[in-house]
Amino acid sequence: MGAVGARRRWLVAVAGLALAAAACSGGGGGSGSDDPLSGNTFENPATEKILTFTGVGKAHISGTLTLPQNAKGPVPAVLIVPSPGLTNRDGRTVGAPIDNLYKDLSKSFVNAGMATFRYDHRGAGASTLDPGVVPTWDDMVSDAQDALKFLGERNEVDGTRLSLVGHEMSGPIALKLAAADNRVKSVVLVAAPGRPLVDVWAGEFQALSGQQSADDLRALVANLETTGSFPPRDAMRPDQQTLLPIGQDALYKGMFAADPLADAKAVKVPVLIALGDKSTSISAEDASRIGKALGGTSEVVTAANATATLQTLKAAPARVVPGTPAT
Amino acid sequence: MSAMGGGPIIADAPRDQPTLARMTSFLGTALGAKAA
Repeated sequence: MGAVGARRRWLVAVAGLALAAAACSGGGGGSGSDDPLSGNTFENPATEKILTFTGVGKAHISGTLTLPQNAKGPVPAVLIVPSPGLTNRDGRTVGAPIDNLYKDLSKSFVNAGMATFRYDHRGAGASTLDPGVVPTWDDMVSDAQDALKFLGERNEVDGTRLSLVGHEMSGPIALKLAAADNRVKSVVLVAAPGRPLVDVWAGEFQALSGQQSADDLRALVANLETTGSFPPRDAMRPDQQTLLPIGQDALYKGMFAADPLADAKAVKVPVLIALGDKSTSISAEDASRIGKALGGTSEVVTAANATATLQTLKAAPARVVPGTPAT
Repeated sequence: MSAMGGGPIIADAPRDQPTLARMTSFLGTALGAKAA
């Protein structure tokens, strides 16, 4: 797939995300019958449990605990922290193409003898919010902390042996939890930024639309930091209207203000940093920055010819010159 | 927050298996996990 084609797909995806987010803003939208994130079902009823814990503001956060087959006694467990936004326990984001990253990770971890817990972000899937309640960055952090506490207290789980997976901006959240909780034995980061989010996005817009687009994004973010909100969407560039969902300003303000490396130095457990070499935003530079900032050991694993969610791109079809034998 | 970019999302495309295997073994080693 060419770079232009890939970027067009991405723009289509974020346009859908913005529209869906607008429809869901204010909470409660995640449970509607037309919500693509609804209908979380058991894949294997013998080993999966749909559970709910209560987050700050009395939000009901729904997740799936998956246990290894034939587990005898408490097992170690991995908490998969979803990327902030309207993302569900499987890794699917409202309006974006289906990508069940978290579900796929869970299957692999469970087959290796670990339990997993993955949850719907507040406002997505079955984690509904009261009307008018908007999620914040602090909510995302506290929900992850509550999820870890909830997981560690389950009878099926050995609460002294826990690990974390952080994806995109939940990477910094995972590092924050690992820095503060000695039950966490390791962390895996997937497509996590090692630079401020505005730099990551500005780089993306520069690649997509040129320097002016990147400059405009930086101006939008500066205005968000000052006023707490984005301007009316019709005052934005069309490409940026699609990127910034309506009703998520508080969350985005916190995300843009967050230093992805703020807690890295305090993390002493091993960290694996995973990325795809065809990612258009997260690069080896991000992985290098994270590795240097950590207080313990780290390892980088790069998926060849793969996207940020580690999906392998199809190889270009081989060219066959007429008259020559195929090899 | 998949809107962050990161390349094309392709429904049902396979994950890079060596990377998935490394992630799994990394976590399993740290946690002392044993497959049934």
